[in-house]
Amino acid sequence: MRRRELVGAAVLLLVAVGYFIAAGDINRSALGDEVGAAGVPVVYAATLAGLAVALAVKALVAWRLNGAATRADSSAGSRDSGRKRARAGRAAGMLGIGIAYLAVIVFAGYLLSILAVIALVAVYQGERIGWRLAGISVGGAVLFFVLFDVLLGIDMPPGVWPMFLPSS
Amino acid sequence: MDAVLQGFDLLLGTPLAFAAIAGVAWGIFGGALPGISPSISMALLLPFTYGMEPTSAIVLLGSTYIGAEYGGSIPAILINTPGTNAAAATVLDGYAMQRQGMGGQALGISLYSGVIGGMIGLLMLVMLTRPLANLALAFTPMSYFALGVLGLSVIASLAGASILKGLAAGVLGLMVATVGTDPMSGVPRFTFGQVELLEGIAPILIMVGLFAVSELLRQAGAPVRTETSRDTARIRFPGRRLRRRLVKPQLIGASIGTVEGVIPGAGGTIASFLSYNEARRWSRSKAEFGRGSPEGIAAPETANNTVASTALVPLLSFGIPGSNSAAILLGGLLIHGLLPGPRLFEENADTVIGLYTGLFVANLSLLAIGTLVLPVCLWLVNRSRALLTAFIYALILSGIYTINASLFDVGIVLTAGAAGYLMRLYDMPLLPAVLGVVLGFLVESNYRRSLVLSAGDHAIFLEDPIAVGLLIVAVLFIAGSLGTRLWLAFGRNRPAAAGGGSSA
Repeated sequence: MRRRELVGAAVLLLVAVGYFIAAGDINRSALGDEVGAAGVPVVYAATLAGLAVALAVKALVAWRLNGAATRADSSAGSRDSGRKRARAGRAAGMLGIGIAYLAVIVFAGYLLSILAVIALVAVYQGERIGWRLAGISVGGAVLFFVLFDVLLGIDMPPGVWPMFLPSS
Repeated sequence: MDAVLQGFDLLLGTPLAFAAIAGVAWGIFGGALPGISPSISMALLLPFTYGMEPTSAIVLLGSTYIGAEYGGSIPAILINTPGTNAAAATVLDGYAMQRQGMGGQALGISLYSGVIGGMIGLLMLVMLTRPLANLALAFTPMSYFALGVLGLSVIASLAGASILKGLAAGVLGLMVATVGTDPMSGVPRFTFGQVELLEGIAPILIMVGLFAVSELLRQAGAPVRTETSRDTARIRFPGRRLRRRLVKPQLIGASIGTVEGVIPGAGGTIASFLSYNEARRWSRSKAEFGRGSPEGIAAPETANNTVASTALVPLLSFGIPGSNSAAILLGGLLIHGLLPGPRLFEENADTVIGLYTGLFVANLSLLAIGTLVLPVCLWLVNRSRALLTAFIYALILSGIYTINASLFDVGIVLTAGAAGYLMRLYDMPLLPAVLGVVLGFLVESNYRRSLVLSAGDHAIFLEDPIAVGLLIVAVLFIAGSLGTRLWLAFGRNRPAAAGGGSSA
C-alpha cells in the first residue's frame, strides 16, 4: 500500500521532470509575449513536482506511523499485492490486444482486425472457444464494417488485400 | 411563446425527436449494464456525433444521460446491482420489493418518478441557465481566466480521498492541454515532430481513454460478476392512491436534485442518498424503509433524474462541467464549435432551444421507451460479460478511428486508457484531469492575454470586478471543500477519541 503510494509519487515526479526538460526545448518566438510559450508549462512542471514531493512525504510519514501494523500484516499484504499484480497483468493483456490491433490493421485491414479483436477479447475474458463464438465474432465484424464503412461512409483501412485484386 | 413555437419547428424540421428517443434507448441500455456508467455510454456515442447536425448531436448525448439515470435502476431493482452509482440508493427498497414479488411495481415507481424528476429538472434548467449566462456577456480576458480558475477549483470537491492526488490529476490534464501550437506565438510545444499533434490533443480522445478504456482494463483485471434474473418483470405504474403518497418524496428528491445539480461536483449519487435520507425522515412509514418502501424508490430516482438536467446549468452558463457526464456533453459541444456561455444563447439560440425541446421529448419518451426496452434490458443484463466487453472494445477502437480517419488517434486513446488505469490503481480521480484538459486552453490563453493588456502587471486581475468576484468564489469553493474535509476528519476522530479505543 505504502510502496504503491511512493511509486506513484515517484512516477509523478518523473513526469514533471520530463515535462520540464521538454519545456526547455520549446523555441522562443519574436512574436511571443512576456510569459513565452514555455512560461506556463514550467509553472505546471514545478507544481506537479511539488505535489509529487508532498505525496511522497505524506506516504513516508504514514509508513513511519503505521510501520508496526504494516509489518504485522505483511503476509496478508503480500497475498493482496500478488492479486493486484495478477489484475494489472490481465489489464496489460487487454491493452496489448488494442496495441496489436493497431499494429496489424495496416496489413490485415479493418474487417479481419476487428474480427480478431472481438474473438480475442471474448476468449481473454473467459468465453469458450467454439462455433458460437466464431459466428458471433464474424457477425460482429460484419456489423461494424457495414455500420462504419458502408452506412457512415468512413474509409476503414483496407489492408494489403486490394493489392491482390485485379486492377480495373 | 416564440421559443416554444421555434422548439416545435425544430422538432418537426430536424431529426431531433429521433435523436432524443435513440439517446434515451441507448442510455437505458448503458445504464442497465453494471460497469457502464452514464458517462461511458455517452463517451461511446461521441465519435458518431461528429457527422451529425449539432443540435441533434447534443440532444442525443443529453438524452443518453437521462436514459442512463433511469436505466441504472433496472438492475438495481431486479438483480440487486446498481447499474449506475446514483442508483445505489434505489437498491435498498427496490430489490426488497422485487423479492416480495413487486419488481414490476418498483420499476414503475422508478420510471414514473424519473420522468417527474426529469421534467422538474428541465424546468429549472430553462429558468436558471440564461440569467446566469447573461452575466458572462461582460466578460474580459481577466474574467475568463478567473472563470477557468473557478472551474478548476471544482477539483477540490472532486478530488475524492486525497486532495493532493486530485490536484496532481488536474495539473496532468493542464499539461496535456499545452500540447500543440502555442496560443499566442504559434510555436509548436511538446509535439516531438509529430504533425498530428500540432493541433493539440482533442479532449474527446482523453475522455474516451480515461473513462471507457480504463474501465475496460479494470474489468479485465477484476471481472464484474453479477446475478442473473429469470424474471419477466412487467412495469406496473402506481395507481392514484400510491401516486398521492409519492408526492412528498418526489418533491424532496426534486428540491435536493436541483440544488445538487447546480453545484458543480456535487452530482447525482449524493443527491440520491440525501433524498433517500430526507424522505425517510419526513415519512409516516419510516419502518418500511429498507424493507420495500415505494417512497424509498421515488425519492432517489426523482433526485438523480433532476440532476441529469440541472447539472447542465453550470455547463451551459459558464462551460464548467461538474460531473463526468457533463464533461462528455461539453466535449460534444466543443466538437461542433459550440462554446458554452452567453454567446451560445446569442449565436446558437437554435441549438439551445433544440436542446431544451429534445430533453423535453427525451423525458416524455422515457415513459414509453422505458416500458418497451425492458425485455431487451433484461436480455442484455443476462448476457455474457465477456462478449459485451469484446463488443464495447471493438466499438471504441472503430469509433475513434472514424473521427479523423486516424490510427494515431486510436493510439492516443489507448495511451490515455493506460494512464487512466494507472491513475485508478493509484486512487487518483479522473475528472480533475479531464477538467484540466478542457479548461487548460481557456486559462492559459486568457492569462497571457490579460498580461499583454497590462504590460505584465498581475494587478490587472484585481482591477476587473467580475474576475475578482469569480476568484473570491473559487477561493470560497476551495475553502468550503477543505473545511468539509477537516470537519469530516474531526467528526470521524472525535468519537474514537471519546470512546477511548472501545473498538479494540
